[in-house]
Amino acid sequence: MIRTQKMAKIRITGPKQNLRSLVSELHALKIMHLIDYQGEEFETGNSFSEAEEISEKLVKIRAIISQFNLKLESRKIKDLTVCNGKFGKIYSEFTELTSKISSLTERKNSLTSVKEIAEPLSSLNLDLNSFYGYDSIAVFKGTIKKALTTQEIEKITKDFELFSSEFEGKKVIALFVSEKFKEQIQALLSEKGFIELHLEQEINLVSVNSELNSIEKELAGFKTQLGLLKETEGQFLVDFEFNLEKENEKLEAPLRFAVTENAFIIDGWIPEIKAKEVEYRLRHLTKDKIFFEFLKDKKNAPTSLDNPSLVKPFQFFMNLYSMPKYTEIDPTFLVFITFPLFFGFMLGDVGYGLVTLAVFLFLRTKLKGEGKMLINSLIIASLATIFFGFIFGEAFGFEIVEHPILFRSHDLNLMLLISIAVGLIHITLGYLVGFYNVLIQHGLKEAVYEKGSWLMIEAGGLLIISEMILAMTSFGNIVGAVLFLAGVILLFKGEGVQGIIELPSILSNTLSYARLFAVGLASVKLAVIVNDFATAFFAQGGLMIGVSILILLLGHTVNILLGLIGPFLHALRLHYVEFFGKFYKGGGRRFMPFGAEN
Amino acid sequence: MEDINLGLIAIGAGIAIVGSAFAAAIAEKEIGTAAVGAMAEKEELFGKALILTVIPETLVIFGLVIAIMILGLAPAL
Repeated sequence: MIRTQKMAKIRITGPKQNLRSLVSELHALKIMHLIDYQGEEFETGNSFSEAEEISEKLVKIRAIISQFNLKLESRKIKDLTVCNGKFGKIYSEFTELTSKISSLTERKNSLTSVKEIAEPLSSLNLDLNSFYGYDSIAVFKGTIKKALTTQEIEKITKDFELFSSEFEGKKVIALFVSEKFKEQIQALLSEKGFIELHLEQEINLVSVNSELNSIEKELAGFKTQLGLLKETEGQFLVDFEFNLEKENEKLEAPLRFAVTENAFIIDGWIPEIKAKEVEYRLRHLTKDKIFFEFLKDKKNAPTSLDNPSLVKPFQFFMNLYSMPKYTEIDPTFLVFITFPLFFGFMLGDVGYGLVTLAVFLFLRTKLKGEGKMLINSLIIASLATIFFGFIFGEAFGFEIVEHPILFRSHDLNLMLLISIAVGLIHITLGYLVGFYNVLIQHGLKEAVYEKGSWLMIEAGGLLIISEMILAMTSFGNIVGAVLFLAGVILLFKGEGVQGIIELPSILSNTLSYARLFAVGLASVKLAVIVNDFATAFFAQGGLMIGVSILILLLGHTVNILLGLIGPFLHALRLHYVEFFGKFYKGGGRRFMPFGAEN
Repeated sequence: MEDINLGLIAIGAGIAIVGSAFAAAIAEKEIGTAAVGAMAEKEELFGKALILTVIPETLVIFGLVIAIMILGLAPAL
């Protein structure tokens, strides 16, 4: 619980004949985190024979999925054998439709470009076949930007014929001149912004248009068929892809193992409590033909958090931050204790606690996965809110008890003191956990330098301050100063100048816990203001009673929302910044057993 | 005369809060912008981005502590 799940490093060696059944079994067991072989001494294995076929199928299926832009949730398929035939049919229908669509689109594009040439020219009312096929006459046909007058052409030659018209707002011309003046005319035309329309073959505009029409109809038909295919088979495709992917993972697993000519070696991590059972099963499966070895080296073990179900939701906060390393303490349990307490201390209102509890209990039924984890942890926080509501004697901002155990909106100094005391305890706990972490990772000396020094500084500082205020003994000051100085020296030895620079942080971190009462105070004051408003309206009677009820509903809804966001973020921050800063490194690798989803 | 003193104390406490709240707001604005930018690239950074963004919040808390200490000077309160 406090530590991450203990892992055993396993090496399985055996003859290649047994590899396939072994891999299948491991994939089904979902218990072993495989280590990819990266050494030089051996080669890595080859994937099983069907892998190629399956990856080909995967490529095809993914092409369809991306073309269809499918975004569905995948489900498990029990029997894959039926699917292959079904997929074959879908794939051939898909390729037939898409190839038809693409060839039709190609034809459509070429016809459209012909049409774009022929249509402007046909507006000249000339036979479309009269634009080409001359020996001594040059023909210029196309669109022109600036106006072209006959005088300008006459300057070059009098021997010409000019036709012009308008088509969709553009000037269209056809100029027939003697081949001799071709270049001069060309120069003149290019000044005028002439763009040639190339037409060198016979065109029947009527038949082009009718063919285009029929192509459009055909295209629309094929596209509806494709849409229908997407509609009916989309879910199947997504499911099949998911299941093939799983299958493929299994078939390609040997790529991750070291092999010799006749044997294989699989390295991996198995939770220690399961290791014996797995060994028995695998030995039984292969009729004792494998060698199952426990390795001593525990470097780079993956992290699997192992908490009782009540604490588990709080793993959400670890996922949000960073996985602990295998050798680190898993702080989930500590967060489970302090997070709800902080949250409850800040919100602390029986009414708000009950409302949020009801909302969360409802949301719990609607959510899955990570969202559910968050809600489950907030349910516990809501219970703490109700608990502190009784201590503060508050419900919806009203004081329900005459003499509550703690009168938080009046005893500000006491609340401040409590908050800071809680902070000191929390930070000390952080240092103690940090001490333990360094102790198991690097030994006692480092632990004393890095974390023990901080504990001494904290204790020394506390002693000096309490002596200054209470003046109980005559030597407390001196003891405190000695402790403080010794702590500073150890810290300097352990962490160098950096440690000294961080010295003031212990003060700012402790004061930071003042938010525990500050956030709550703001929430209470808001609630009181809402209530005062509503009471004032209520006193006027009549219609105003309705208004006052509206104010109550709206005001408290807003305040509950603020009261959820504020305490949540602040409680989280106290853990992430002030608490985790004392011991937590994170950056562990998640335990991902072979065959498990995600 | 005592009324003026009381008012000055209240104003002093107010300044402590206002100043620190502005400082925290400016700091959080800068960090928040960068954090959202980083998260757009890599969504898993949410946890770390959140921490960095809320770090300056402590400034307001310090302001509040000072304000309460100033209010403590007022005999009538």
